[in-house]
Amino acid sequence: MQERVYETTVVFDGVLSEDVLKKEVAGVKALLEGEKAVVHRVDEWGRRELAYRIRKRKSGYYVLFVHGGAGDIPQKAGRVLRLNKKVLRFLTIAATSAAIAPKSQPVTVAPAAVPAATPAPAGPERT
Amino acid sequence: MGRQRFRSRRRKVCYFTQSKTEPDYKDVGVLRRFVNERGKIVPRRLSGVSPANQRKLAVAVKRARFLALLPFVADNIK
Repeated sequence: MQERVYETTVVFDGVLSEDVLKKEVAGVKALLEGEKAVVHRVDEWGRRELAYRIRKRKSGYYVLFVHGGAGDIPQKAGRVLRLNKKVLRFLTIAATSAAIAPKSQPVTVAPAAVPAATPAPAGPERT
Repeated sequence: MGRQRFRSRRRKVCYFTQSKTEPDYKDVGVLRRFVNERGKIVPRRLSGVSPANQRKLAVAVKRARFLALLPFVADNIK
């Protein structure tokens, strides 16, 4: 049977500590592998502000899993993810094999860092 | 009777065709260019996106909204 490629984006609760998040990410990876999926890539986007509140939370920790396997994996994994209280949202979509290759990080919405002070170019002063 | 003068309009080019990319729900920075300040998808007659890419764009924006990467309705309007 031909292997299908899926992208699962999971939004974990943003108030969780780093240790708990690490465990949760490993848990989801283990869940997918338990369903005989091959996890090609795990992209941690990090903590981001949610565009709207979900379960009274304002921030979420985004993780993208690119995995392949049989066609019933999204359904089986979704059943478990839906019961996990630490998961605010998840979305699984069918992807192409091009998704396996790592891409550049998505544009973050975090405010840009203030550039270091640089000497002003010499020139006539305007009043 | 004065003669009407028509200014030749600049032909809009599809952003995705030009950049050889496809709309992706993960590219929030790009998607934000195609939603207005209310959070609604900009029609292709204004954005110049090709019909095939506009359909993909609509799906990508809806996926991004579901994952709370984009708002369904802008905060200042709620």
